[in-house]
Amino acid sequence: MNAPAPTVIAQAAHWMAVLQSGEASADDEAACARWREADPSHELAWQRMSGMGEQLRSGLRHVPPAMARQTLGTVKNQASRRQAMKALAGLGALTLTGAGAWVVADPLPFGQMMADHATRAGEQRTVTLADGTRVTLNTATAIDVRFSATQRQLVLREGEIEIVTAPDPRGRPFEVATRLGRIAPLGTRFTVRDVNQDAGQSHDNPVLVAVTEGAVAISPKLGGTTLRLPAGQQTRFTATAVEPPAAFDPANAAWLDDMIVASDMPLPRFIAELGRYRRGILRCDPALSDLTVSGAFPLQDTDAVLALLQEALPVRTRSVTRYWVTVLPR
Amino acid sequence: MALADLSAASAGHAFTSIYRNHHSWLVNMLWRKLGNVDNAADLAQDTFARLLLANDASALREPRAYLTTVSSRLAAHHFRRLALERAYLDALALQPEATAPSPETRALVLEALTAVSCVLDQLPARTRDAFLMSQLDGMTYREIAEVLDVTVNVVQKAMGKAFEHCYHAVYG
Repeated sequence: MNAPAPTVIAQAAHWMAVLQSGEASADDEAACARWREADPSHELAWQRMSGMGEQLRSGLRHVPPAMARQTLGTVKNQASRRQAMKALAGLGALTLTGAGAWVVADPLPFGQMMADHATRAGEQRTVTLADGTRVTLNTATAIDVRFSATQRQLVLREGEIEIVTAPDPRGRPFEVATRLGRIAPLGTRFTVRDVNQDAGQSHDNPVLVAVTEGAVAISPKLGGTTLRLPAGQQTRFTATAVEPPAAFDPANAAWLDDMIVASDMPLPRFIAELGRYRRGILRCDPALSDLTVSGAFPLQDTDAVLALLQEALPVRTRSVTRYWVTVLPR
Repeated sequence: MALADLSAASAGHAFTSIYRNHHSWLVNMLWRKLGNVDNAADLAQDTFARLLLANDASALREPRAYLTTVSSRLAAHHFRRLALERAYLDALALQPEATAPSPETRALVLEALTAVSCVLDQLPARTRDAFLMSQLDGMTYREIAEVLDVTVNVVQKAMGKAFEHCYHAVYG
């Protein structure tokens, strides 16, 4: 599809401004909907524009809005650039290039600072608990360990883990507590995944459980029925229900081998998955939702994976800073 | 496979030769302009890192023009980041100590502020403020108009301009 023309972008900006006023009427909404339907390039400009505010907010969620505004306001927009240009007087052949180097140390997101064990974006770690149970944390994951005289509990705050349970000499039951319910292993090896972006921006994404050995019992937080999931199966559950189990998909455990394995995966989903292993914002242009990706990709170097995508698919990347990268049609 | 290896080897060779011939020139130029040898060395390092990743033929033809351009952009980014860091630390200093974010959170916030500052670059201050009040604070245009002492219509026009500007900054 052709890139939206400048006039279309201006129209999309106008409609966005009208609908976000807090006072838009039903007529405004209908008129905007008609404009979006009138041409595919209208819809694309609209989709791109819609993500903008969310992208700003996701970067600044750790700072109070008033402080962000105040801080941004103190940097006079062009002063910093002029200061640098003056410092580097003249000599400006203008070749702009994409891909940036990643130099700055990797910070740990706020919510994970307080967890017992946590990994940064791009990091994986295996910890052995007091009872011998082994837990492997995938990227951007946080867990708490709560062992008492009567129970062994592991809380998955966020992210993805593999657990290989050990029998407890003191016979205490083991369970994994998640946002949406509990999982009790019955002598086993299994993975649990609670990743926010699985369902876009909403918070009602289900938790994924996959069992490679033994079995687990899943109890949704608000639902009565407990489901027993044997080895070789996987399922997803919400706070109220467990989905019918399906055959275990080895791609779900590929992260344990430092790989993403994709089979006809829509590009936006692939980019979201890759983004879990990178610091900062990695976004996919909605215009690319028809492209799919197949193959096995190494997780240690996500820049290399992005470079590979640019060779294999009609896409390019654009970096506002190294912190904010967007994948676009070429 | 042999072909790919060969081209990788020759690209590596070109990079090594540019690095050898121009690295001390670049450090010297940046040192003169920035007045600080550590910053100059860091920026030179970043510039060569870009060169290595850029895979840009024009870089090989005109290495000094390329290095000058890229290092200028990085220097602008560096100054912007420094200014934001000072402003952010000043704002934090006014907060109660108990709510002080960790060094890691501060680094994350600073990265995000720098990115947002780049996107909103060149917008008039009022337009930027209106946009941030709407997008970060979730204020209605009527509320923003009251704070900025302008009409709702002016706010809506500013918002349209800001959305258009951001679009070009991200997708341009």
